[in-house]
Amino acid sequence: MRNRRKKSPWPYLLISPSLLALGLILCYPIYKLITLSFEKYGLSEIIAGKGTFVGLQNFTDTFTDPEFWTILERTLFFTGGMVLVSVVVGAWLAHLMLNMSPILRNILNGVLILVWAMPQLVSISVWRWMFSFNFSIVTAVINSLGFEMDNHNYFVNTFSGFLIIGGCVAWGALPFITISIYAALTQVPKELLEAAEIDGANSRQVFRTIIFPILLPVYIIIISLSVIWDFQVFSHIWIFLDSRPSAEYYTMAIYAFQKSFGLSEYGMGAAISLIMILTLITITGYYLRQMMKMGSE
Amino acid sequence: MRKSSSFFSNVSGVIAIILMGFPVYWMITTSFKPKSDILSTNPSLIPHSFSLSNYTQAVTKEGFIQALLNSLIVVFFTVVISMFVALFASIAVARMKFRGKQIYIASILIVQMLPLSALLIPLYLLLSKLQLTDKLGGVVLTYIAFVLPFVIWTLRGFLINIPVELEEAGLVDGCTRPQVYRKILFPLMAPGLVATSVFAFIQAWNEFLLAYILLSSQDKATMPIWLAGFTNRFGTDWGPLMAASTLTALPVVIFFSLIQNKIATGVTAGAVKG
Amino acid sequence: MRPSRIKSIAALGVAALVGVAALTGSTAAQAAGPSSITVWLMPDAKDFGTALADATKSFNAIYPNVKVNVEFQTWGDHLKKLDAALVAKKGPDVVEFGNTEVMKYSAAGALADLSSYKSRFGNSNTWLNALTEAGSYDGKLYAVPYYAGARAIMYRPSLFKAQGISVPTSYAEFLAAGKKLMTAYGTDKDFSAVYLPGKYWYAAMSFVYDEGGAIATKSGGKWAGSLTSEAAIRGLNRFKEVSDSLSRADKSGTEAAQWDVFNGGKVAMSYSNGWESCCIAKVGTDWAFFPMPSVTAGKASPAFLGGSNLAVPSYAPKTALAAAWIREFTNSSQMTTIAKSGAIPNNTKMLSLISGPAAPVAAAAKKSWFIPGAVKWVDVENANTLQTMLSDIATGKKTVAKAAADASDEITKLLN
Repeated sequence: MRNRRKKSPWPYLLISPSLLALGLILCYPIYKLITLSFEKYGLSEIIAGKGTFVGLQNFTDTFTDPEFWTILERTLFFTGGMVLVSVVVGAWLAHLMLNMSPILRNILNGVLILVWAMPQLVSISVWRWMFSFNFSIVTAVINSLGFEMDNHNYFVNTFSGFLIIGGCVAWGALPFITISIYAALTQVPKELLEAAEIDGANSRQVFRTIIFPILLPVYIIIISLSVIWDFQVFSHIWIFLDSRPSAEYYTMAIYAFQKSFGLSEYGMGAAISLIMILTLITITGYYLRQMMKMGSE
Repeated sequence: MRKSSSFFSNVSGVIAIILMGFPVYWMITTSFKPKSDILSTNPSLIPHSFSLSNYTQAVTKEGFIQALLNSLIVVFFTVVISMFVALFASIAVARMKFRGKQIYIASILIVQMLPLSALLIPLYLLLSKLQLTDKLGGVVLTYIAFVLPFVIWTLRGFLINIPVELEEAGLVDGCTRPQVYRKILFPLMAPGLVATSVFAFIQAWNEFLLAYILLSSQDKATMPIWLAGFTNRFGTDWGPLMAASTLTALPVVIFFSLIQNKIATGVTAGAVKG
Repeated sequence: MRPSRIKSIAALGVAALVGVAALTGSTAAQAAGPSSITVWLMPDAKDFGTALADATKSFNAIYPNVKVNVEFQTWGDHLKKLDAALVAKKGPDVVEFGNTEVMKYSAAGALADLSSYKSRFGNSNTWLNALTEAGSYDGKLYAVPYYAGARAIMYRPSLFKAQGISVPTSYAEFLAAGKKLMTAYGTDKDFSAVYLPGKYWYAAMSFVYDEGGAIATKSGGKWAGSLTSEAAIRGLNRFKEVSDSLSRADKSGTEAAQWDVFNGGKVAMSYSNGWESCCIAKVGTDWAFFPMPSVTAGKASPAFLGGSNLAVPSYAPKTALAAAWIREFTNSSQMTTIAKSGAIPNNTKMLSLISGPAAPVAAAAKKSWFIPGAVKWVDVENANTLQTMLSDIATGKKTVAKAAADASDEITKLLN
C-alpha cells in the first residue's frame, strides 16, 4: 500500500510498549512451561527445589494413554459445536440488530452487556439450577406444558450434558461475538450500500460483494478466538458436574487438570498444556496463513 | 440506522431478548427473594415476595468497599494502559509493513493459546522475584499482558476495514498524521474500540484466579475475591451472592454506556468524504 | 487545540505509569514490625465467635512484637496458591487444610514436623482419631486437629409422630421406619423417606464400615482395594436397599446442597452434617438428629469425620512461633467457643459441650471412619472411583459384586 523508501522507525516504536509488557510478564513463564514439560515436577520436587529431568517421558505417557485420543476427539467435536453455534447465532443476532427498532436494539444491547458482565461462577450456577435434578425450572416448564416428566438428571447422558454445557458456553460468548459483528456491520459505509441499491443489486449480491469482504477479517478473528477459548473450556464442565466430572466428560482441559494440577504434578501439566497449544496451532494454522496473507497486502 | 425496522426482526428481537436474558432475569429476581424462597421444588417464574435483605447482607459484608475500590483501581489502569498500547500496536500491524511483522502477529495469536493454569506457578515465581506479589500493580501488569494480544488482534481487524484512502485524503487535505488519526481513524474505529475496551474492563473486573494467587492481604482483595467469600463450609449463600453479583455487574453496564456515548458521538461513519 | 490535546493524552499516559508504579509500592504487611506471622484460614473461622480474636490476643500476650496477619482463602483454589508459595519458598506460616487433603503434603515433606510440640497442644491425648490420623504420617505429627464435622440422620419429628415411629436404634428399625414413611407419603413423586443421592459416598461407605469392611487395606507395604470382602458387600447391599426402597434422590447425583431439598419439606430423613440445620428455615423447628444406627442393635454406625487441620509449611522460618499460634487457637478455651458455635471441637472430652438438637451429631463423632491413610488417596478421589461404583449400583447399571470388584481393582491400581 505504502511505499517506503527508507526504513521508518515508526512501526517498531508503536509495537515496543506491547513487546515490553508481554515480554516482561510472559517470557519467563513460557520458558518455564517448556522446561517443566521435560521434568517430573511434583510436590516432592517443589520441596527439594528442583525438578527431575525425564526427557520426553511426560509426552510419551500422555500419547500412550488410551484415553488421550478419545479425549482429544471429544474436545474437537465439542469445541467445533460451540464455535459453530455461537458464531452463527451471533451473526444472526447482529444482522437482526441492524433491522430492529432502536428501542429494542438498545434493550438487547443492554441484555447482552449484562450477560457479559455476569461473573462466570454466577452465570454457570444459574444454568446449573435451570437444569438441576431437584429444582429445575426446565423440568417444571416441561411438566406444566403437559408432558409428565420426573425429576431428571440431565447429565447422565453425555450428549445431553454436553449440549447444556456447550449451550451455556455459547450463551456466554454471544455478547462479544454479536457486539463485534454488529460493530463491523456498522462500519459498512452507507454510501456503498446506497450506491449498490441504486445500481439494482439484490440483497444477496450486496451481501456478497460489499458486506462480506468487510466482515471477513472480523469473522476470522472471532472464529479463531472462539476456537482458542472454547478449546480450553474448563470451569463450565467442572462446576456443572460438581467438581467431579466422570471420565466420559473429560476434555483436554479437564484431563490436564486431573492428571496434573489436581495432583500437583506440574511437569505433566506443562506437557499436556504444550500438547494443547500445538493442537490449537495446527487447527488455526490454516486460518493463520490466510490472515498472514491478507495482512501483508 | 437502516431503513425502518421490520416486524420480523422486532419479533425475533423480543424472543432473543427473552432467551438471552433469562439467566440474568433469574439472577436479579433471586437477589430480591427472601432466603426461604430461593430454592424451591416448585420454581415460579415470577417471584412471590420481595425482599431487600440480600442486598443489605451483601453490602454490609466485610470488605465490600475496599474490594470495590481495589477493583476500580485495577480496572482503570488495566483498561487505560492496555487500550493505549494496543492501539499503537494495532495501527502498526494493520497499516505498516515491517520486518518481523509475521512473527509478531503469530506471537500475538499463540500467546492466547497459553492455558492459564499452566502459567500460574511460573507467573507467581516471576512476580515474587520482582517484588510484585500482593500488590495491585502486579495484578495490573499481568492483566495487561493477558488482555493485550486479544485487543491488538481485534482492533487490527477493525482497522483493516477502514480504507487507507481516507487517511491519505486527510493528509492531502492538510492534516498532520495525529490529526488524521484523531479525526478520521478513531471515529471509524469507535465500535471496535468500544467492544475491546468493554472486554478489557470485564476481564480486569471479573478475573478471579490470578488475582487470588497474586494477592494475599485482605485489604488488597478485588471484587471477585470478595464474591468468593460468600461460599463457605455451609455451601454458598445464594441470595446475597446474587445480590452482590447484580451489584458487581452494574459498573460494567455503566462503563459501557459511558464509552458508547463518548465514542459513538464521534462516529461519522460514511460522512467523511473521500 | 492540537498541542493541548496531545499534552493531555501524554499526561494521562504518564499518570497511568506513575499510578502503576505507586501501586507497586510496599504493602503494610511487608512493612510490619520486627516480626510477623501469616495465617491462612477458611472463612469458616469467622463463624467461630471470638475464637480467632481471642487466640491472637493470647498469642500476643506471650509474643507482643509479633504481628498476626490472618488471610482468608477459598476451598477451591487454596492448594494452588499454597503450591505457588512452596515453589517461591515464602508464604504463610500457618495453613488450614481439609483433613482429606493434608496427607499428600505431609508425605512430600512440605510440612514441618510438629511432633515435638504435641504435648503442648491442648487436649492432645484426647484428639479425635480421624483428625489425628489425617494429620500424621510415618508416625510423625504434621497437622494439628482444628475442628470436625460429623454426620447423623436429620429427620422431621412431626412426620415420625404422625406415623407413630420412634427413633430407630438399629438398622432394621431404621429400614422399617423408612418403609412406613414411604407407604404413607410416597405417592408424592418428590417424597423421600431417606434422601440418599447415588454418589453420596460419605454416607454409603458408612454402611461398609459398619459391617467391619473398609475401602482399602494395607498389607506388606502395599495397599489393596477391599470392597469385595464379604463385609463390604453386605454394606453395599444395605446401601442399595435404602437407595431402592426409600430414596427418590438422583441415583447419579451428589449430596451437594441436599439441605435445600430437606427445606422443601418432602424429605423425612437425610444423612446430614450438623450445620445443615442452618438452612432449613421453611421447616421451622421441625428438625432433630439421631445417630445413624448400626446393624448391631443399640449401637451407632460409624460416621465419616470431615474437618480441618492446621499445619506449618516447611519453609517457614519461625516454626516455633507458628506452632505457638496454633496452640493458642486450639486450646481448651478456644475449643469451647468453637463448640458453642456449633462445630465439633477437636477432642472427645469436649464433645459434651455441644448440647441441644445437634448433640447427636457430636455423639456421632465419637465413632467415626476415615479414608485409608494412603499417600495417593487423592488420586482415588480425583478419579471418582467410589462415586462411579455407587452410582452404578444405585442405577442398577452393574451388580453390587461387579461394581465392587471393578472399583477395588481401580483402587489397588491407583494407590500403588
